[in-house]
Amino acid sequence: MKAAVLFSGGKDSTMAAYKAIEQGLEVKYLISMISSNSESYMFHTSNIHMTELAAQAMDMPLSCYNTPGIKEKELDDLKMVLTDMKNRGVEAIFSGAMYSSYQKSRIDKLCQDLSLKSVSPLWHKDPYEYMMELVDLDFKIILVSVSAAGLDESWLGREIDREFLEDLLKIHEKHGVHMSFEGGEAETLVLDCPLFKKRIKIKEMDKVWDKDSGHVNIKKAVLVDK
Amino acid sequence: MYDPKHIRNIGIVAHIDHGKTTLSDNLLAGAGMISSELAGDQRFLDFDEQEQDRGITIDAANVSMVHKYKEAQYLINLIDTPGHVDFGGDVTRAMRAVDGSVVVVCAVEGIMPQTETVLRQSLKENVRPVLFINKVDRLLNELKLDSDELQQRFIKIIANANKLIKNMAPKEFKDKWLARVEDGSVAFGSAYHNWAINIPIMQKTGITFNDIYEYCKSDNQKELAEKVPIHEVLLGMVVEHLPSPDIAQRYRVPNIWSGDMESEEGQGMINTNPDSPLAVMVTNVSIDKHAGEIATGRVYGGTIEKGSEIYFVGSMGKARTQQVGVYFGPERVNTDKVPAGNIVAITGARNAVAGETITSYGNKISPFESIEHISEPVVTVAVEAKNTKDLPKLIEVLRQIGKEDPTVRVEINEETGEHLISGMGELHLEIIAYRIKDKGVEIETSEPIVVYRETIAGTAGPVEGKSPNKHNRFYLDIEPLEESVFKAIQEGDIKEGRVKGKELAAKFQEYGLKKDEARKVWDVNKRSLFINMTRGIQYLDEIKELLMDGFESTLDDGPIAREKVMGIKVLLKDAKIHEDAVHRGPAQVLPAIRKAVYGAIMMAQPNLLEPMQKVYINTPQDYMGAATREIQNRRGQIEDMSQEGDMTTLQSKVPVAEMFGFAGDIRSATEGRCLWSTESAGFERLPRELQKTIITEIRQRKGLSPEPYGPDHYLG
Repeated sequence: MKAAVLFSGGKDSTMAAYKAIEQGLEVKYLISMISSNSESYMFHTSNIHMTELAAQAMDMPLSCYNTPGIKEKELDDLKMVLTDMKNRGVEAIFSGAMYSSYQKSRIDKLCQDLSLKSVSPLWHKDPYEYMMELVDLDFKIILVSVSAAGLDESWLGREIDREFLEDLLKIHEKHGVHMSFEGGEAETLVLDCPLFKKRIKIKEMDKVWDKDSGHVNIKKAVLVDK
Repeated sequence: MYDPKHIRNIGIVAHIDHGKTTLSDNLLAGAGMISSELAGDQRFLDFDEQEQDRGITIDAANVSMVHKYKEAQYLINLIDTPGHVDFGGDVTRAMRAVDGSVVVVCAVEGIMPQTETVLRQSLKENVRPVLFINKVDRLLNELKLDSDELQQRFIKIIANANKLIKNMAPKEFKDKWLARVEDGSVAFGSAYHNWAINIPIMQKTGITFNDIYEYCKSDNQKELAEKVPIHEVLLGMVVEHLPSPDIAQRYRVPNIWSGDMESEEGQGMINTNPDSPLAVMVTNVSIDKHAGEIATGRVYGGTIEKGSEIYFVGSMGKARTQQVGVYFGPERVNTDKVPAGNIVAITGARNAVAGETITSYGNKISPFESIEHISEPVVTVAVEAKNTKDLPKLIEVLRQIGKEDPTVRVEINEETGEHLISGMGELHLEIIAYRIKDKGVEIETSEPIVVYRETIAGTAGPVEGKSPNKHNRFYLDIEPLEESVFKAIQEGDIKEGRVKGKELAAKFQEYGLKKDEARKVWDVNKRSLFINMTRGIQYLDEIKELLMDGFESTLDDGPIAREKVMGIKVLLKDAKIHEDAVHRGPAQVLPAIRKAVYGAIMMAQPNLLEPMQKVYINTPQDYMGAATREIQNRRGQIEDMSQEGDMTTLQSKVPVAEMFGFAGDIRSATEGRCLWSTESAGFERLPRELQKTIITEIRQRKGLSPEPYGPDHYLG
């Protein structure tokens, strides 16, 4: 079966691609929705330009689409994209939704209308076990934005490893931050994983902080041999 | 002995130095519990070495005695309470355990402000008062009043007391509870000289006011004490006029317990039934060197038994009673069981705190209403162990102290080793420091620090608070809380807590809240309100609790200087909430509401409030000038001055911040010839010229930037 993956370069969509391949599907396209609204309800926005490099690293074709990212209207844009995919012979759409019914229900509905199969392989996984799985599979992931009580500037750019998870558990207990950052509490960028033929190396970045949220701007990154 | 009809649970309350403890000692002596020669001097109820040194009562002490009245034996459980303002919390707690109070008033000074406070505390708990006018001999021997003047003086005191009772008593008892000379609910006498009299006794013995006049004049009070011993007269008055538990619980239980009155446990308490489900309210916890923690409480329903499993409703813990006992004289006497209506001492109730509700394990009952403390801690000291080896022990001792005295707030910081203790005043904290040392831990204490409050003088809004992920937004207005509502909360007429349903709407309106607001109050916290003015917003109900958590936490540390906030009204006007639960978790909603409230406060003329104390000074005329200067040098205002013979009484109001060292200074200013007392007088706006300095001072002490952040830091 031919599949496409809604892809942002973050941990969940990369894992969705990983699961698709693991299940024996042929991933034809990675789809990136590039939203000009940084507060979009549907789409990951932080450092979305990095998907290009990630697609290269995986050696997979990437289809990018621009959207103004206006609530509900952005769905029309997504519908167009999915129609396009259908026309190119794609049968299943993979996404990294875990707990956000907002995203999943909308993707499911669009797929249903177009008779596409919607697959969310991470749906309702235990967040902590999922994070451990990522670490165990040697995913190299950094935080590129944080927006939740308890997560301060020091978390920006930090790599997810065992120590990270221990610290996060404490913040989770104190402030109720989601253990895998569902709800837009942080966004991530995958620098390396088993799907990558080369890994991403960041050469230059800066951090922006405002009150209780912040993000990393990646200014220069290259692919290097693993 | 355990029959409720033959029990009286009483407290003795008074202004400081009006003679409570002397009275209690003489009652004990009269009942044969201690030597009558020593009573009066012995201050038997002042167990603590500190108490005997300072000549004041610090803890509320429990004793009981047996009194024979009209051919029947009565068990009288007595709680002696402190009069000094610094220890007011003990009085409040004691009132929960008793059904009646003996209000002692010094005949020379009359009704003093603290008499008013203790009367209020008593009446608020539906505890019926009777009056004892003490130190009558001094009117005759020192002030040289004649018999007419004497009676005038009595009439004045009784009228003043009744005015207060009429104002503060529960509606149905306003007339019934008045102190009446003719029915004997007022007695006169001298606790020190061990005699007392009231009209019924006068009629019985034939002793008249003129006789008393003669006895006192001729320095023959000893004979008077033989004819009308104080314990006979006062305990008689107690048995006659103060209610037995089975009568009092009928009207007291609905006032202090919010559960269903028709339930088995509700009916059990109302009827003081020893066979109903167990319900005990803990009013005091003390630590005994041998027996460990001893919880003292009132059994309202059921019977508490030795060796039984009990359940703490508030902390949801369980324990096994090692021993249960009653007080007999000053001793604890252990027994097998203590039924409803009694005051019980429980050994083995580990981790109980004052205010806790106890029932039997496996049983479920609603908790008792929390005990309202009229005064709150206003002074803090930092405590450190002198030797590092004492670190763990200090923490243990501090926890113990927090348990023994709920008016002390203890904050333990294991990381820095610097712990904070907050109390009612400098004296209160000195005593606590002494107790810590007494338990074998050498400590160093910082200079005392005053506790301030934050509030607003203006209004602001609508302001927008965004969640960190920007998917949730709250719009609110902020206003100073109506003075009348503020006062009603402060005085406990409106109870703090999250509001369930609309049952309080009428009450809010009665105290001056607009009708549309009164119906929509969500939360009453720290004398502030959170009101939901929105209509039909989806998902709002699902995050209601989070919004209240956020609101309450902002009140804990305000934006001006991280002091507590009070007297604000927050109106939620609109909200945008993400439909997906995972996008509106605590890490999103809490910061959003907190930022909105912080930003709004900073836009609405933020202000610091400082705690005030009323200071009463009694001093001879000659020192009046010096005493006045002491007050004026401390930013104090003289509010009233009155003269009685050679003595002047000065009433003033002084900021707590200026009161440090007052004890020594006033002593030297008056060459030791003064009596003084203080009383908490709430918070007042810190003078404008001091605001900036104090704010910077507090912020730097807490390691914050010297200037508070402006609204832009929180909003937008």
